[in-house]
This record gives sequence, C-alpha cells and structure tokens, in this order.
Amino acid sequence: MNADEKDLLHRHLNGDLDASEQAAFFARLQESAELRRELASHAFDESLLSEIILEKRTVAQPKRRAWLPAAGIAAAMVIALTLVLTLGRSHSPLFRVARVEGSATILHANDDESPVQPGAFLREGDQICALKGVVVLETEHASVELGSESAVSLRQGELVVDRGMVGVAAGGGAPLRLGSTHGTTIVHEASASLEIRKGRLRVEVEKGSVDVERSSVVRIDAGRYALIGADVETGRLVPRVPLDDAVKRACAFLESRRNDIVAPMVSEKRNAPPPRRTYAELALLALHRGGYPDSHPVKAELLGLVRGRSVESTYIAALQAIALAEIDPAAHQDRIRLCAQLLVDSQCANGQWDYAVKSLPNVPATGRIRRRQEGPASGDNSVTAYAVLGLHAAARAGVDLDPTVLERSRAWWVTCQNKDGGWGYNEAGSLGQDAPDKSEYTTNTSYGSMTASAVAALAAIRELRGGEGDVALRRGIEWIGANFAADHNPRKTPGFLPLHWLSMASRGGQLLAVEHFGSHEWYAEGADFLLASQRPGGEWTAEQGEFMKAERMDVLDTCLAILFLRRESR
Amino acid sequence: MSDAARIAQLVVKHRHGLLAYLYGVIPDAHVAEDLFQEVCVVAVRKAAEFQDGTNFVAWARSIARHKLREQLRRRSGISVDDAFFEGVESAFDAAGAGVDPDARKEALRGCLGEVQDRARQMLVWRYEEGLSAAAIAERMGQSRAAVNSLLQRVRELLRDCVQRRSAEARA
Repeated sequence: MNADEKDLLHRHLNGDLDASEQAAFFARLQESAELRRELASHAFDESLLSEIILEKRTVAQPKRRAWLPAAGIAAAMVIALTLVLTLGRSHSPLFRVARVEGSATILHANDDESPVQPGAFLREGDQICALKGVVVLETEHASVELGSESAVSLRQGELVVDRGMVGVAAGGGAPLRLGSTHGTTIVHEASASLEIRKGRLRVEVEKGSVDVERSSVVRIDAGRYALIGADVETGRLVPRVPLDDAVKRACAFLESRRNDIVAPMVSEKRNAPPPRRTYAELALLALHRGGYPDSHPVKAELLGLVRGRSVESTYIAALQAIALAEIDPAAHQDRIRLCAQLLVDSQCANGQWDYAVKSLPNVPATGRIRRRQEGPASGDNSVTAYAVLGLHAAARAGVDLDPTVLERSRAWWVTCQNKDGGWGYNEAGSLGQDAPDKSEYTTNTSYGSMTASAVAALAAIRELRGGEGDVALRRGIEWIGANFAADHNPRKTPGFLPLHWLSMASRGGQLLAVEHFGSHEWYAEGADFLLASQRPGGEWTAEQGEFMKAERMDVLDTCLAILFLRRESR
Repeated sequence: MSDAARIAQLVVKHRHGLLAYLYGVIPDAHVAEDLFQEVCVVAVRKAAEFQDGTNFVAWARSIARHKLREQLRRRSGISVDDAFFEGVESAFDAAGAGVDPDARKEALRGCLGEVQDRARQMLVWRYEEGLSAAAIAERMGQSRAAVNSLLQRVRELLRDCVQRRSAEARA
C-alpha cells in the first residue's frame, strides 16, 4: 500500500472523496488486497466508534434526523422481532409515524424525550404520548390512531395501549396485536377503538370482529363493545352516523331558541323570593358536548352570561359547577369555587338542599371550602341530587371540600331510602305525598328519576369519600335494574319527567362505570328511544302534563337529550 | 422456530460485521445504518429462501450488495461489479475473524478517553452529524488537509491504543 492509496483510504473514511476520486479509490481497492484489508480493519472500528458516539448523544444536541440512531432502531427491531417470533408468533410489524397533528412526544427507553416526527419508526421501549391532538402510526397492513391524552408503547415488539383512546384499522396480512393490562386485542380485517377508562379496557368494534385474549378469549363482533376489567361486560353500540346527525340537529335547534335560553323565568314556588333561572348552564353544557368550540358565538355568549350572572338557585349553582368543570376547570376555577361555596353554605340541617342559595361575600380564593352558615331545615331529594353532583364536579376540578358536607348528605340518602330499595321525592311521611297512585306528580313512594338521582348522588359521594360496601347504593342499583324502562320514568306516567329520569340514570351509570342496570343496556336503550322520538325540528317534547307547565319544555328536553346522547367521557 | 425468527437471530448475531461492511463501502454512519435496517427487513421477508447450513453472512451480504449498488449509483454515479464486492467481502471476513465486537467496542470506548477534546469533537461531528472533512474544516476554521490528517491520526491512535491494551490484558 503506497502513500497515495493510504491517503485515498483515509479520505474515503473521512467522507472527503468526490465522485471521480471515489471511483479511483474503488479501482485501487480492486487491485490491492492490502488496501482492502486496511479498509476492513478500519471500517470495523469506525462502525463501533460511531455507535459509541451516537449512544452518548443527548436530546439537546442537534440531530440530523429524528429517528437516529438507526443502528439502535434496527437492533431493537431485530431483537424485538426475535423475542416475539420465538414466542411462537408469526409476525411483528414495524410501526412508523405517518401523521402528527397537535403536540406529541416520544419517550425513549433511555428516558430521552423528543417531539414525534412523521417518518420515525418506533423502537423497543419507546412510548408515544399524544398530548393535544392526534398521532397516526402505520404498519404494512394496519393503522393506529392515538387520540388526545393517550399513550402507547412498544414492548417486546408489541404495541401496548397505556392510556386514553386508540382507533385501529387492520386489513389483511398478519393480525395486529395490541396489548394492555387487561388483555391483548387482536385485530384482523377489522376496525375498532380501544380505550382505557376507569381501570377497564373498552373495545368498540365498528367493522369485522375482534378477539381479546385474557384468561379466556372475548370475541366482539361489529356493532358491539366489551368492557374488560375484573369482569367482562358486553353490549350493543349505537350506530354513530344517526347519533351524530341527531346531536347536530338538536344543537341547531338550541341555537334557534337562543332567546328562550337566555331569558330568565320564575317557576319555583318554595322559599320566596323566587330565584331567577335560565337554561344557560344546561344549554352551554349541551353545546359543549355537541362539539362546539368556545369561540362559537352562541357558546361564547352563554359562557359570558353564565360567568357574569349572580347565582341565586341551587340548580344554577350545581349546573354551573358541572358545566364549567367540564369545559375548563382551570380557567373557570374562580366560578367553580364560588358555586361550591354557595352550595356548602346552603345545605339544610338534615343534609338535603332546597331551591335557593344565599350568598355570603368573600369566597376564599384558595384553601378548603367550609360551611359558614346553615341553610333551611329541609328541602327535596331532587334538587339535593343536583347539589351533590355540583359539589362532585367541583371536587373533580380540584376544589377541596369540607368532608362533613358530603357525609351529612350520604346520611340523609340512607335515612330516606324506601323499604323497596328505591327513593321518592322526600322521606316517607313528609309533605303528604305518600299516595302511590299519584303517578303524574312527585311522591314519596319510589320512582325512577328519584331513585336514579339518589344512586348518582351516592355514587358521586363514594367516588370522593370512598366506602365500597355501600348497601343503600347496591339496593338502589337493584331497584333500577328491576324497574328500568327507556321510554318512561319507571312507576310514573309516560309524560312525567322522562328525560330527567334518563339523564339521571345516565349520570349514575357513568359514575358507577356500568353499562347495565339489571339486564338493561341503559345507554343503547335510552339512545334508541331518543333517536326514535326526536321531532323533525331537531327538538324533543317528551314531557307532557301539568307538573312542568311553567318550563320551556322543548328547550329543556333537548338539552337533556343531548347530554344523554353525548355522555361524558369520564 | 419459524424462518423469520431464525433469520432475526442470525441478523442480531452478525450485526457488527454487516454494519462494518456497509460502512466500509459507504462511510457515512447514518447511511450505513439505514442500509442495515433495509437489509434486515428484506432478510426477514425472504427468510424462507435462506437454507440452513449455508453461509448466512454471505447470504445477507448478497442482499446488502443490491442496496449498496443502488446507493453508490445514486450518490456518485458509480457502478461496481461482483468481483469488486467479492474482493472487499473476503477482506471483511479476514478482518472480522476472531474479533469479539463487544470487547473491541469496550476497548475503543476506553481509548476514546485518550483522545484530545478537539479531536473528539471532530469525531462527534463526523459520526453524529455525518459531516465530511470539508464541512468539519469549515466549522473549525482549518484547512481540509489538516482535518483529513487529524482524523487519520486519531484513527491510527485508537487502533494502536486498542492493540496495546489488549496486549496488556493478555500479559
């Protein structure tokens, strides 16, 4: 090897040769065995050195590509492949990032974190977190879409859903396997969505059929879902297209009735002076669930109105806390605290609430919300359930509540439970409402909306205060299971508060994280009824009769129907 | 074990040798790694074609040859024949024989400590950013010739260091 050759060799290794010098070097290489040996010897060290240097790379250093070092990827891919294949599986796909919308990060096995870039391949141990937005991964035969606040990771060559919701569509070829702590979902020529919620895996299958492998295999066919945790709950999906259409038309109807939403009305009779109410909170939450952005003019107007109004009614304080906590708990923390303070200050001595809230000035800006005064002696169970749900929403939004308020409420619910396990409007014996034949009015005998209200309130208190073995709650759930009907308020005439009943049953079902009451799939049956009874103008008018005659029933029913159909995701 | 699983194991086993071969022909760490990944994918896909008992490295290199040919044509319009590859491959067989890549990597890691900061920075630019000698020269405000000669000295220094250390370890 002469000096020229040596010079060419090193400049080759330095990336310093132009095309003609490169060709000349290769020609020399072909002639000189010594030069070839020298190249091989150096190339061996060079590739090891480059690995050492790339291993030391930190996130702060500039990167030529997002997915370096490729040697690491390849090695991890091959190792993962080996692991998976030696476990007897036939295929382990490579996952490539196809699309990124919004912000998403990738957390590597060595704790490095970087933004997700399209074109990157997932490496063994990587976790992709979609923060706000969507990330789409692709393999040869499948695509996987991560929704907001969801995360997946690659472990032993298998994609694992860690949290949030993930949509999957797989064509032919090898089945796609998606791991989770609740079992492995196998998708083959099918599309499905997987969601980890409340410690369970929810799998909804839109097309084809999907198997979930756990101690036994759960097969889920198109149009059905399964909830998989300690036990397995399966049921029927409500078709998305008519559902979306119904909600869209209902929201358009609400927009058309703006004046009836914002204009105050006076309808409550007890404890004068009567508070002024509007449907602004309910409509705000309904439009929010309907997918309206905060910038939409009607939603923005309602948000302004809600935040600016003085709160005089228990219903308004509760609904305002619920709506604002769902829309943006941090941005509306001040108002949520105000509502929580009003509710805490208005609790009756017996643990109930009444219609009116009395405000004291100076809601503390931070710290625990404590009771500063006592409300009236007693109220009713219907408004009491709303107050509890409002406090529950505030607590979820981070407000620290005096625990005695919730304990006092729980004690009341237990006290006034009827012998059959259900609840009525008040404690048996009070207010002369014990006549069971008054099926078009409130009674103290058990009926659907009141029992559902009590179950929702007790479930909310249990979520905040703990206490698993709640006998009263269990008996209430059994009452609903035995009496459930989607098209009317159980034990009442069809025109009496049917949608209030459905919305309370829905709240209870969601807080308990159950899809069934007894043998009834509350959501699917309720949605069937609502889709069938929507009026051509997009509204519902299920309420009939005397009891609610002072209300604007089409607006109220339409709000409640939207809240049922677009149930909260938590 | 399935064909693919067997190939995957073999790829892992011969990773260093294959990477070094790719790097020897196209000395850009990123390109070599990309090519290695492509070779892996093709090898696993064609797993059924590999016959047990035959030379796996030779088989994998035959896949690599296609990739290298494409890349050389694209980068510098060069085409090379099989005789060229055969010569280079036998040199890699000889250089790789008896070398434990993991031990050598650890030895190199130790020897990197003996390299001056300035030279180490050059290696980082060369491998991590894939800069050529000319680009490094520009960044350092030095002549290309100086960078070429410095890189050559570092390369030789590291090789001497590794040999010295392994001789010491044997003694």
